[in-house]
Amino acid sequence: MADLAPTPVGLPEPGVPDELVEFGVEAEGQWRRVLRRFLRHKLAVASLIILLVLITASFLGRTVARYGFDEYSRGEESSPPSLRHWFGTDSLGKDTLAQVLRGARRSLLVALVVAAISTTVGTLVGAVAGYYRGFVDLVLMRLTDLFLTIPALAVLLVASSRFGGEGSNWIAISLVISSLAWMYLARLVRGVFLSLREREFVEAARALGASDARIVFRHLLPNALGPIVVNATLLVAAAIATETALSYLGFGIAAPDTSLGKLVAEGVTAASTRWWLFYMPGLWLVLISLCINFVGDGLRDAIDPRGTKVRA
Amino acid sequence: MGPQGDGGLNATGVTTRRLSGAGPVILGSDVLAFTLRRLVVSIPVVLASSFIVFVLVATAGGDPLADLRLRPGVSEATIELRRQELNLDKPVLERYGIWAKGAVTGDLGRSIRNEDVGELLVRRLGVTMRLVLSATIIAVLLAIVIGSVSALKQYSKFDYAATFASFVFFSMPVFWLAAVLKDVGIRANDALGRKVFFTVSEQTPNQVGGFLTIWADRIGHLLLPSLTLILISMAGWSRYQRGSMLEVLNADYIRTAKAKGLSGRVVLFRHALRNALIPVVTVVAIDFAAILGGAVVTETVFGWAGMGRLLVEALGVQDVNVVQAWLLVTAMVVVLFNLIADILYGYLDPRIRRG
Repeated sequence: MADLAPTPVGLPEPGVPDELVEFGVEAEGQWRRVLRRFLRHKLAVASLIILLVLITASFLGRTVARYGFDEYSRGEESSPPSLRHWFGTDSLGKDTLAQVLRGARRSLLVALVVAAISTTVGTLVGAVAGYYRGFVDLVLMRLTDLFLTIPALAVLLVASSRFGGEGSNWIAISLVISSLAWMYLARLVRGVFLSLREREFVEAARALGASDARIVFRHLLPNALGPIVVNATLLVAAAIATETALSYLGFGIAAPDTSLGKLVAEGVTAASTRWWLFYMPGLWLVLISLCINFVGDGLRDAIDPRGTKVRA
Repeated sequence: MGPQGDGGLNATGVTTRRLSGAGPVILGSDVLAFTLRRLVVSIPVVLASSFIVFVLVATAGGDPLADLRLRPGVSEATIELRRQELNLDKPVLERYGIWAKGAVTGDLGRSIRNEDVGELLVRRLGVTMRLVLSATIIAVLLAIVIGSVSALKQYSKFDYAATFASFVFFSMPVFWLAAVLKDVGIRANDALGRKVFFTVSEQTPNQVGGFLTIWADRIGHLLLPSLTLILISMAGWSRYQRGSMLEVLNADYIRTAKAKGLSGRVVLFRHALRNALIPVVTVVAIDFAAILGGAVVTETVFGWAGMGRLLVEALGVQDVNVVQAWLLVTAMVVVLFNLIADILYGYLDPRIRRG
């Protein structure tokens, strides 16, 4: 195993379930085991529950906050957190909780789109490179290297100063962040594919006349799924942090749209006078990424079948 | 970056993770050859990224001379002259060619405000390095200590507390932590009734006094910004140190060393710690680019006139020469740190040295 796991992420034991799939037996053993191991990880389970509550609240919006994000409470401008306004109000009398929920919605959408796009791209590039090897592999990996060694921050800031900021939409920002987040996964998947494609079960499938697509999607990919899932989880947290930094520097989400990063950036100047405008969105943001990181950590432990990895 | 580093992005969005560390190093007379080879390999990468960045900035569509146009009493002819001086009238490819030719000979061109970019950069680089280097060194030392103690006392209260704290700091966006520390600093100043923490700028402007006064002032200003970077970098690194220390402590050769009757100290420092440092060295070198990224945000929050601020301001006015210079310096620093890491490997692990 050591030679095919050049990463801190453990790989699931390949092979067995797929041979079973080929003969029509339900192959859920591996994932049932992952679930069992994940449920043993109390902190991760608790984080998952909190995360789900936070996400649900963010998407319920008005129902939770009891005020719309564009609703003004006359005579209650700049009021600190109270029973009426749980997170206080801003100088225009808008409910901060409503703003936070709206911002969280946007931040989460950006993060999910980034995770989805970069996971897809990374998996495809890695799979193609690892499966076909040779020239294709060479070209794709040099491209990956290029993206890895570029001072990503410069490109990120330049690209988002161009596609983000005023008059931009959140999908453009998501695309910019995604374009610099797929490389790690590509190398990971390639590594798995390179070693698995030589295994007997792949040879057997090929001898039975399975097409390339079938071998890739039914035999190889499921074996790389563990690390891919862990990677995608952690990408969500990373993407939220990236969007935050971009929005703070003025190259990310811009008005009239808002995100947690933008809310915190707007609240910075009020930190010492109206603390809730700064701390509430910030704490919401930190809580979300903390939960995601704990869940990712728990998943990693659950997926590592050797159980040799130390609890991080 | 920590155990979570696999995400490929870090708090500032810089992709840093690489699968393999650097290649093997041979110390001694071969260091030079190795260094040269590494430098040669990184040239195409720097060229490619500088080209991408140049095109992105240069074709952004805004007007770099907007400031000049708004100034009263500047004639149309002056603006046109400035446009030609900055080569803004030429096609993008030609402009890149001009820039690259200059850069190779050490001429980084002039900024839109007509300052020499090279000089500007050197001045700003000093400020940023003061922040980044002090933060990195302290963070590495703290991470090694905390990570090792966590591993030695696995599942102790200290271990749990350190684990939780590092997850918390790892999950914080750099600028939020920076702003929180700044706010705390201001509140502390108010509470104490005198200025203990400096929260704006890298030094008191026009400070008079001897060498000591100036540096005391600078270190005072350094406190909160470097604490920001220390807390965030340390979070991930201490996890790495803990992981690799645990792995090493469970290795057979440690048992052998103990069985031979070596003292606990010798086993710990000579056998365990030395080997456990290798992964951390890699991570620190790779993350250095990320720290530079974090510095951009930290400088912005604390109003430091460093390289990060220079970049943000240049991007705002599409000052392509300044952005390019920033890119060049950052790329070189990253290459340099990877080199240092490779050389350190050879020192830490003689097997690598023998190639």
